[in-house]
Amino acid sequence: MNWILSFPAFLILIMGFVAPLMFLFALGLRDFSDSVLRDPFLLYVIQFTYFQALVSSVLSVGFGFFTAWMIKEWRVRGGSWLWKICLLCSSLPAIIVALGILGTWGPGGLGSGILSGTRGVFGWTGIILGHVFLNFAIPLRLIGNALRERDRSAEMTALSLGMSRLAIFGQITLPKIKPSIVCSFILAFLFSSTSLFIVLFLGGGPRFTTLEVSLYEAIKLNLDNSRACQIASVQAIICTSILFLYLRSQKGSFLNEQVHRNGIFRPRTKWIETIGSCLMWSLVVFLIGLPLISILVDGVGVLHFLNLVELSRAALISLGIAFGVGVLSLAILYPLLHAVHHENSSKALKGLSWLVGLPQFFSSLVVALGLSVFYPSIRGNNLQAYLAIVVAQTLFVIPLIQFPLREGFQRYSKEQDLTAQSLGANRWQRFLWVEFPSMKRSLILSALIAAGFSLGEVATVLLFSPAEVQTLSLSIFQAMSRYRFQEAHAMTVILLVVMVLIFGVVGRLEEKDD
Amino acid sequence: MTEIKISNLLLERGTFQLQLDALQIQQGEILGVMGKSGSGKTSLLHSIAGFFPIKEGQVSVFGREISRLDPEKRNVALVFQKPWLFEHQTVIENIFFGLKLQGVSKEECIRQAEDWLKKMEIPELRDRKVWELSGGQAQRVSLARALAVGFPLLLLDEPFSALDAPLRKGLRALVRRLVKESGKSAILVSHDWRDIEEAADSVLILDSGRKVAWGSLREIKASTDSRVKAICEE
Repeated sequence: MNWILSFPAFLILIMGFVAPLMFLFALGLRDFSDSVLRDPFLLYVIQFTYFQALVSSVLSVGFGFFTAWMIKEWRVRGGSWLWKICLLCSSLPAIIVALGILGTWGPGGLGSGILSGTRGVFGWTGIILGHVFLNFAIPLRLIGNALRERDRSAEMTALSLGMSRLAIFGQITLPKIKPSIVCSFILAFLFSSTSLFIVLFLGGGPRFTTLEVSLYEAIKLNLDNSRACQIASVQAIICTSILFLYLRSQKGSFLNEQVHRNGIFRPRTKWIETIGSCLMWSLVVFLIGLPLISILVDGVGVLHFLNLVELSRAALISLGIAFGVGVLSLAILYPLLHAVHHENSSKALKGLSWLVGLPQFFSSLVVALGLSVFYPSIRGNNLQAYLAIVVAQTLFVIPLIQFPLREGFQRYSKEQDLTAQSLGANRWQRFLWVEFPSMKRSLILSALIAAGFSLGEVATVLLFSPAEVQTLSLSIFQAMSRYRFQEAHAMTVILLVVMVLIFGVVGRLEEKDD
Repeated sequence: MTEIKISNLLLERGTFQLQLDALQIQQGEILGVMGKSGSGKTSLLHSIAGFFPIKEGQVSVFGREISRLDPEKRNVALVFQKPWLFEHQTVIENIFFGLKLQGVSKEECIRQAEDWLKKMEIPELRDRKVWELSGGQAQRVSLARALAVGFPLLLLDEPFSALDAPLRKGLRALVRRLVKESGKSAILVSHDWRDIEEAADSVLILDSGRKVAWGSLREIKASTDSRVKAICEE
C-alpha cells in the first residue's frame, strides 16, 4: 500500500525532472568541447557567474550572520518583528526586488543621489544589492536557529574560568554554529549563481552576463535550443557539484539539546544596546525597507493607469495556476510522507522523499528547458502549456513544502495512530478522523507557501505560456522589459499586497506551530 | 470462567524471543506484569493488541481467537505511558472517539462520555482542549477513552509511570475500581511493585522473554524464588 502511495512522487520525479534533465544533458554534451570550451565569451560568462555568486554569498552570509547575531544574541529591541520582516521580505519574488531596487537606487529613485557614479545602480552594485536582499534570509534563518538552539553551558563555564568573550566566541561558539554558516553559504552561492531577474534588470550590459541570463537569451531572444542545452548542461554540472558540497556540509549540523538560554554576549550597558538596535533597524530599513517603500510610493499613485479587465484576467490565471500547484504538490508529497511516516524503517521510501527535494538545486530555466525539449509538443497546445507550468512549479514547490509537512507528521505520533487503531479505527477512519485533522494546519501552511511561490514565479510562465496567456508576474516582467515602469509599479503593488498577506499568514501559522 | 486465554505464544523480534506456554485471566481480573527492562512486558501487550505479529500460539478473548486479526478488529484497548490524546479534539470528543467508530449516535456518545468523565472525577474538563490539561488529567482522559469504548480487555502499558507519587496512588485505586465495576479484564504492565500491589489481582513475572512466575498476588509475595524477589524488591 505504501509503495502505491509513493508512486505519484516517483512518477513526477522521473518524468518531470530526471528524464528531461538526462535528455537535456545528452543534447547539451553533443558538441560540448567545440562549442563551449572554445567559446571565450561563454568562458568569461562562467567566470563572472561564479565570481559574482561568491561575492554575493559572502556578503549575504555576512549580513545574515550580523542580523541573526543582533536578533538572537544581542536581542535588539523589536527583534522578533525584525526577524519576521526580514523573513517575509526575502520570500518576495526576484522581479519585485529588482523593481524595488531600481525604484530606490535607479535613475530618479529615492536614493539615486548616493549612487551617482558612471553606472549608478547597474552592474555590481545592483547585482549585489539584489542578491543580498533575496539571500540573506538563508543565513538569518539557519544561523539564527543554530544560535538560539545551542547549549550555552560551555560558554558560561569558560567565562567563569576567566576566558575573554572574544576567545569564547572563536573557540566555543563559532565551531558550534559553523555547520549552519557553511550550509547557508553554499545555498546562497547556489541561488546567486542561478538567479535571473536580478542580473537581467540590474546587470546592465554584456559585461554583467551570467549563465542564467545567457540561457534566457538563447531560449527567448535567439531561439537557439542547442546553445541553450549546452549552457544548461554547464550549469547543471556545476549545480550538481554544489549539491554534493551541500550534502557534505549537512553532516554534523545537528545541534545538541539546549541546556542554558542565558547568553554571555548580550550588551552590558543600556546605551550600547540602544546604539546596536538603532544600527540594526537602520540597516534593515536602508537595504530592505527602502525598495519596498519605493514600490508602494511609485505604485499607489498610478494604480488608475491599470486596465482592470486585463489585470483581473491575469490575476485569475495566476490564482488558477497557484491553486493547481498547491493541489498537485500536496497530492504528490502528502501520500509519500504519509507512507514514510507509517513505514519509517523503509530506506527506499526515505530516499525517495529526499530525492523529490533535488530540483531546488537547479535553476527553474534549466528544469523548464528540460521539460520543453523532452516534451516538444508542450508549447503548441494551451492545455499542455498550463500543465507544464503547473508541473514545473510543483517540482520547485515540493522541496519548500516538505518542511511544514514533515513537522506536521512529527507532531502526529505513531502512538496516536496505534491508540486509534486499538480503539477500533480502520485505515480510512484513522486517516479521516485522526491524521487529517491533526495535519490540517500543516496542509494549509504548505498550500499557502506553494501558492505564494507560484504567484511570484516568472521563468516557467515565460518559457511555456502561449502568447495570449498573462499572469501577474509575467505582466510585471513584460512591463519592465518595455520600460513601462509606472505600469510595472502599479501591478507590483497588487502582487506585493497579495504576497505579504499570504506570507503574513504563513508567518502566523509557523509561529503557532513553534 | 476463563475470559482471556493465551497459549503457546511465541513472538520473535530480531534476536529477542518471548515465549509463554499458558496464561489465563478471569473476567474482572487485573493481571500485573513485571520484569526488568527488555524482559518482554511491552512486547507481550503489543502482541496481544496486534501491533507485533506473533509467530506461533493463540490468544482468545471470550472464546474468540484474535491472534490473526488486524489490531482494529481485536476489541482490545491499549493505553500507553503517555496519554497520546488527539489534539484536534476536545476532552469529551477524545472520550467518545471509540464509541463513534462503532456507529453509536452522537447523543448516546455524549451521554456515555459524560458518565465516564464523572467516574474519572473530571467532569469540569468536558470541553477543554487537550493541551490545556496537566499530565494527570490527560492520563485520566486517556484511561476514560479506553474504558468508554467498551472492549472486554484493557491493556495498560505503564500508565502511571509519568505521574508523581500522590497522583499515582489515587489513579491506580480509581483504575482498579472502574475495571472491577465495568466487568472488564486488564493487563497492567509496570516496573513499580506498588502499582501491581495496589491495582492487580494476579502477577506475571517475566525475565528475558520467559515466564519466571505467575500466580495470585499473595503467592508471588510469598515466593522464595530469588529472581522473583529481586524483581519485586527493585
